[in-house]
Amino acid sequence: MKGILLGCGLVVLAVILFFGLAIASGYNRLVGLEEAVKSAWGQVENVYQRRADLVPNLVETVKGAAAFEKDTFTAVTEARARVGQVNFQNVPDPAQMQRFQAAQDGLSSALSRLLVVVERYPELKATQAFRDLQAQLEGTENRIAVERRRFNETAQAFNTARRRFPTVIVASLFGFSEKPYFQAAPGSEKAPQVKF
Amino acid sequence: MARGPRLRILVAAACAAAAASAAWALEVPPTPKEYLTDYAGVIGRQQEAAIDERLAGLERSTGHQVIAVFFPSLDGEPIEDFTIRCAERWKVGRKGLDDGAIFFAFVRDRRMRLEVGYGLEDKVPDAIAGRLLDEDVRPAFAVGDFAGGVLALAGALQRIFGGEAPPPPASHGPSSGGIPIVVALVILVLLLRVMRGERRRWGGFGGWGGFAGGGFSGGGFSGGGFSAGGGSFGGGGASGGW
Repeated sequence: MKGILLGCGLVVLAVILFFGLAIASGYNRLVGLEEAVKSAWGQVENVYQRRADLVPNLVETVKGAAAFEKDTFTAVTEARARVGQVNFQNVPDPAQMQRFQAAQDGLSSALSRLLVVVERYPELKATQAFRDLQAQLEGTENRIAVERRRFNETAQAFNTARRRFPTVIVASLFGFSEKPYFQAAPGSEKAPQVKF
Repeated sequence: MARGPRLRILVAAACAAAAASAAWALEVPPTPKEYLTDYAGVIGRQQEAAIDERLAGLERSTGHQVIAVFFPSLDGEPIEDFTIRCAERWKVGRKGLDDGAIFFAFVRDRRMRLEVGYGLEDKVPDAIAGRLLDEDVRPAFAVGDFAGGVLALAGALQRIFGGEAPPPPASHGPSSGGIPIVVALVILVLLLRVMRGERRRWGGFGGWGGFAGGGFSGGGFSGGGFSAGGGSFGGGGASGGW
């Protein structure tokens, strides 16, 4: 009798241990993947910040040669201000992500309008200062494309792991929420081509 | 009855072909074994050796790995998409310092790009990279002197990297002081996990999931030929044409 009880106890213990280990490993896996998403998001914010930091300099440079295009400057400055308002310390949820993307896309289109304006000022385009800024802007748009892709890749790895069978239980138990993706809005997935 | 499997194989083959053609127009070649790789066949033997020697010298004196690769054509692919894929695969530059740079030229498209590693971005910011392509490479390329363009680029980079003493190579293998650091790291990680666990209503279960990667691979200081050190890239650099 005692032996059977002991046996049952051992089996129960083994089952508990098994589930405990399964939960722990699923949890740790999700934690690792979530950290990767977080650091990828940090990079995304970095490169967008880098672009925002370029704006004042760009506006100043263009203003010197094309002072009449006031509306364009205002549009860029306003879009830049809106971008400054959507900063998240953590990986955004889908609604925040939408706001983030809307603000950044707003700045993208304001910038490309500014560059269209520049087309009318060939002497400005020829200056070294403007050409340097143009190279910086191109490089930054390229970095944005790279970091967005990397973010989407890590988010996808996380989401896939999160939805697999045993892990999905762990995920809902500990409140790991699905990560949003950068959506390729029509025409905005490619870095705006700042070619002349 | 024999039709089923055969049909399935055909379908699978068709899918594979479709996937392959949809994936990438241009295949990323394996990591170059030389400082100069000329898939386009535009550089003579002797010049090739000269460039190899020049870029190897650049690495010896500054520690920064710089390689050059010539392709015949982009096959219609955007240049930045392809070059960043190459850069991610090849890992030029020292691990941890990420101080590599890759020069790409696509001869038939008359397009080129200098891809700059994370760690070189402050020495070679995009504007400087753009100027290097414009002022040093383009004039030579425009008259068909491809070797001259690469040599001019190497010279300009040497000037930028300048008289700085070569920074110490990224930690070569575990030293005697290695173990205490590892122990300290483990304790730190455990502490962080526990702190995090409190937030997540989960104590104690320190995991090992975070220890991905690791392993030190030093710079490519092997004699002769090029060996990438493990640097990473984030899309810095500039593109141009000629």
